[in-house]
Amino acid sequence: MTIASFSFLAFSLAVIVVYNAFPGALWRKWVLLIASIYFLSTFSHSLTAFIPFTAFLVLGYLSVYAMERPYTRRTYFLIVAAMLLLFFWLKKYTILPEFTFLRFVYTTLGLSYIFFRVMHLIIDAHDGNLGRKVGPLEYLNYTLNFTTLVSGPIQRYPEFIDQHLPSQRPPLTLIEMGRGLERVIMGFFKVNVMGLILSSLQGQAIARLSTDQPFTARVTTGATIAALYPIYLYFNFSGYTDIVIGIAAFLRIKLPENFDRPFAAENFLEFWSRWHITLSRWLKTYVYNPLLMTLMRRFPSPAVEPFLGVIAFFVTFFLIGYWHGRTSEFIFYGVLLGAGVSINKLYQIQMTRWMGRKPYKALCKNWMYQAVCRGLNFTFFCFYLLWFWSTWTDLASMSKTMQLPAQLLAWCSIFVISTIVLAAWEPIRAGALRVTWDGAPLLLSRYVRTVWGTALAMVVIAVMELLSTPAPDIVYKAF
Amino acid sequence: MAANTNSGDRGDPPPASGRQGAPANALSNLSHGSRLLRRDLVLLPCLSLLTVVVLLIAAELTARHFFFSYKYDSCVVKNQTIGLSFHPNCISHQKAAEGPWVTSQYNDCGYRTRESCGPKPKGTTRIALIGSSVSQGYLVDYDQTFSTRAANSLTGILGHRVEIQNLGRGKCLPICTFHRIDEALALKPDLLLMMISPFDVEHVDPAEIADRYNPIPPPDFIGETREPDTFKERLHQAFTESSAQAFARYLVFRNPATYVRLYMRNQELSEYVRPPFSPEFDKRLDAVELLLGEMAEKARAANVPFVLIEAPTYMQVSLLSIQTPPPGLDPYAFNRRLQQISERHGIVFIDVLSGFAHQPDPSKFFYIVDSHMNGDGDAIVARTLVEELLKYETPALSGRGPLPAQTASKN
Repeated sequence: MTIASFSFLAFSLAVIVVYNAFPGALWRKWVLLIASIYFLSTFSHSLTAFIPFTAFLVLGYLSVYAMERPYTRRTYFLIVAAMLLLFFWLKKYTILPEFTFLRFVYTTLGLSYIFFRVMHLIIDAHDGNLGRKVGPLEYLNYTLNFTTLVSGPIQRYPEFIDQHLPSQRPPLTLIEMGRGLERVIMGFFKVNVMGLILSSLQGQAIARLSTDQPFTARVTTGATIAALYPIYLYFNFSGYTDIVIGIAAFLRIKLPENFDRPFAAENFLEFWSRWHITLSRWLKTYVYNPLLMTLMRRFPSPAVEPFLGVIAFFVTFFLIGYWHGRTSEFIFYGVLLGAGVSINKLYQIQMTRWMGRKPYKALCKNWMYQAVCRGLNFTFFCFYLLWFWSTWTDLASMSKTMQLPAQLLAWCSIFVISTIVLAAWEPIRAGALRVTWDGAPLLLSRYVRTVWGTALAMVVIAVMELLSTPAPDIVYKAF
Repeated sequence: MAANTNSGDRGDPPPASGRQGAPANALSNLSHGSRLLRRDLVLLPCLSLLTVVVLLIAAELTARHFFFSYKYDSCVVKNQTIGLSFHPNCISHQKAAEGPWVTSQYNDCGYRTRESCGPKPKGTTRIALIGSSVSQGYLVDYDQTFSTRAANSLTGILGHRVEIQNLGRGKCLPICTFHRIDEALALKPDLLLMMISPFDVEHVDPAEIADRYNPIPPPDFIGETREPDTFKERLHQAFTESSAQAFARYLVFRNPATYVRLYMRNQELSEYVRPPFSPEFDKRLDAVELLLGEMAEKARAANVPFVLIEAPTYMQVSLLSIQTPPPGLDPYAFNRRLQQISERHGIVFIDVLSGFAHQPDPSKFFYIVDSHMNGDGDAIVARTLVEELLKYETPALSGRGPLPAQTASKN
């Protein structure tokens, strides 16, 4: 079942009605479980395809169960290592020998996100941060929740349980429903309209790129290919997130946000605090912080402390990159992410040392500096995403077709145009929000939002019903 | 690293409540009051409805500008024998929504042919073409009609002038074509060509066949559209003639599989691809056979070979393009029946539908909302027609012998 489809909406509507029909917690547990299993079953008709998936879930639960009983520290590390290895093995990462992989076709849909949830449960159960025991139904509700199964967002277990099974449920008001509907419409628009347009434009540009093109046309085509994908990916993934957040709102589950205007970020580090936020938070909690603490204990000198942060950042971002896929392209993608964050951090350290903290802060607030940083950040994002959506072969082919001068000019064009566009966008947005009515921004009033939402809904229906070309599926579904 | 960023720090309005660093959430909280006012229960649905209406009107106006159609032919006049005909030496202009403006120029007899309908010039092969709108080349530029293309192609191949006097006229159903046989034979053609479409057959009323010798009275109204009498009719007309609706259909119908699926919902309109045909459709075909039989007799008496071709429809061509068409559908069913009828009456039947086989994008050949063929479709018809015509040994086209149909006896 595709998330951004009318069939998913119909399914969700049915679940919402049944889920909210009775107040009992047990009722909600079973409804969510059955709905999630049904949703999962639409991705494969073969029962054997779910065996590895089920095994992973069962082992995950047994691990969490073990953490709630007396155990040794060694057992904890063994469990964590075993779950990691099992995940890498099931996802067929190329670091493992190929002959060990299972030979039959099985589903790994949402396994990455289930892995994050299970690891969170194991580690927090170990640290005593869950504050409650994890029952089998609650565990399945949390790991298989159909609103977050495919591509997150990664919600923390205590938050999920507090909202899913509270002692007193907040009422589902018209305002809440309106907001939920608004998010769903926005998500559908992003995935099915913007995503479709942008991916089509990028596809056309790829098809257009050839050595027969004049130099300027090659530059434009190359820049279009590289610059459109990040925008497409944003609409595709944030659209998905909007849809599931909107649907979950009707179940009175408040899923965490995954995006916060990422292209307004002024540097690499800030960008990743605005893009795929829940993944960044997870890695911060379970990789960056522990790693930094370990390094600081090992090298206690204050002089090296900032550089230890750089190392911890590199490792964390390398893992973010490598998590996306099992091929060498994703290893390189991880290296680029690690290098990007390291250079960013080192630059901040060096600038602070060179200029002093206050002047550097002042420089960071300079609008022109901000604009250039935003442009640079976007350009670098376009660059490292090449290894995210393409392959070595395709990259070599495009590179050969473009030739070095055209490539350089294309990257310069992306930098200049994105700098100008993003610099213009911020004051336009701020200006639009300054127009107030009834003490709040007019654009955010429910009247304007109703008109806007209705218009988007009409466009979505027109595009989905009239165009025979389906929009691309959610990109992160593959991870 | 995943640090919470307060959107208020960046000059954005601060969230009224809730978590920081989540503008979408902040937006939710920034609505004017978190309590729904009573007036909003009426105002918000009304605003939504108003938006729908405004967008529909905007879509209609935009579609009327970019998807404009004009199908009225100002050269059409009332005719006491065949209902309607074209004014001689007249010029008119039409436009399909999906196509360009085309000029329709009629000769001294009111036929869509550049050449005069007067005595046949020496050394010229004349073909008389009868049929309805597809024969006429409705909405197709003159030089792109299959009749003009075929005439030019035959002239080039045979080395002498071949002209096609195009008597085709929109809405000239088989009984109207039947009335034109004498007019066509009076042109002293070397070959009589008739084109028939499944839509022509669908509109045949078997009850009218008994009156086939009586003239067809002209309609009361000659115009693009009749003024509706009632509000309901007005509403219906507004919807059916809506350009936005036509554009929507255009987008949907571009996909052959979708077109076939939607078309199949109309049982009556899709009869001709559903063998065995229904008794009603069979009766219509029987009526057409009666007319064709008598027309063939007249052609034979005038010693003119009679060739019948079918006007392919988007439905048939779509079925040919789909790898796994729905079961029970046969694009050639109508063709086969015409072939059988032709054989029984000594008519040569030429299958032009096969020319469209293996075409990946059938929508290229039709004005898919209007359903008529466009210039590209006519090109395929012309090519197939010429190829097939040249296979027959007719004095007019090769000088080597008569068409087999000429000598075939009626079964």
